[in-house]
Amino acid sequence: MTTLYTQKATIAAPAAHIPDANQLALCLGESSADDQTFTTANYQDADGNLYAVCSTTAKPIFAEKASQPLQAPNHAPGVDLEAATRAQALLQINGGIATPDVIAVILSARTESAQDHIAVLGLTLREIVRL
Amino acid sequence: MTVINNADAVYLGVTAVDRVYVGSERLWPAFSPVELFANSEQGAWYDPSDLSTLFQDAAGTVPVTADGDPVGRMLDKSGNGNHASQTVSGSRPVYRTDGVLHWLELDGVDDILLSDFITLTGTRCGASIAALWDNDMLNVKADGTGFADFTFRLSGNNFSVYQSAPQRTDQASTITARTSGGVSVVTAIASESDAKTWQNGVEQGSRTTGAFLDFDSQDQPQRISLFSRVAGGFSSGSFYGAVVSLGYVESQKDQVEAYLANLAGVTL
Repeated sequence: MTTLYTQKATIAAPAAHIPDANQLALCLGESSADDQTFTTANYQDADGNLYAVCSTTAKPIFAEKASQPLQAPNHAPGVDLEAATRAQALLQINGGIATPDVIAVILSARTESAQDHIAVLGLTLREIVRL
Repeated sequence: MTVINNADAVYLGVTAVDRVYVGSERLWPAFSPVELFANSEQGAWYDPSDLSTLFQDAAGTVPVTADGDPVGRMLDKSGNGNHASQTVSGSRPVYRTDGVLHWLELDGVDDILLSDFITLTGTRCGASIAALWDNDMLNVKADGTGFADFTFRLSGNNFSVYQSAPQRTDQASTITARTSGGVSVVTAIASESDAKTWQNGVEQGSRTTGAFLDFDSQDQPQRISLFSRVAGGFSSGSFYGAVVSLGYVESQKDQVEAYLANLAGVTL
């Protein structure tokens, strides 16, 4: 058997766009819980801008669906297509570092590591001290 | 010995026996982690080499069949029904195999599997894990964001038992089971009076003073969390299997570790 999930996608949603990015994830994903894909903005770029990051395996159809007009999937008939479409307009696939005005995606073969993707995005995990 | 290993029953003369030993080594039947749950002890047993326990979706309707498939549900083989799942498709680990070994690959970004909530009682808990890891790997905790609601925490480099109200941490030892250290089999056992850890069969540290495990005084209900603290701090690496049981005692450790070492290709 060969997996259908031949790609890896790492996605950086700027903090201001997390709600819209979650609606896009719900639209492009496979679960009714995918509106919780982006939660905590715990990564930052060199300028201190904050991002929520998701890394996942993906089917090749992911990139195709991401570039086409969005439709509500069977698992989420109530998805906010307006919000998802706003997020879709911000998608930048394999365009380099993350910036606050785009939703940056690194898409590669599944064998690449998420940590390498995050390095390409120019992001680092915020150091949070819990007392 | 091959014959006895595969036997369904063994007789001494006309008398059926339920165990066969040479010295202290048990030859038959082969050890199974299910023995840690023989008296209905709470806990879980996860074995990603058993594909019948892995599913791509959280509901458990799409089986994992190939290297690279996401894992949205991993069944608990202990009989307790503490299956670990992930509803968000982007936060699922990936099943990997080289044809011999089988493991879950963790991306260190957002992968986490969680059991349902369980009300736990008692003053003992033990866990053995075979994994390559760099952050939290297995926690038993309530579903909050603070540290006070941890009970039993195996993180990247240490094992801690937490007592709530007031918050108190008792760190039994430092464990060097980090990514750079290779795949390890780590065991941690805590009771109301002591706590101890081992890595690849070698004791790492122990504590016999201070407040130790007492589920009855913890926030309830709790849940088993794999690869994360629930509220962040995700581990990258690989997971070959785990057994966590509220009845786990030190005399069972060697057999559990041998079982997990076999799953992970580790020589103890």
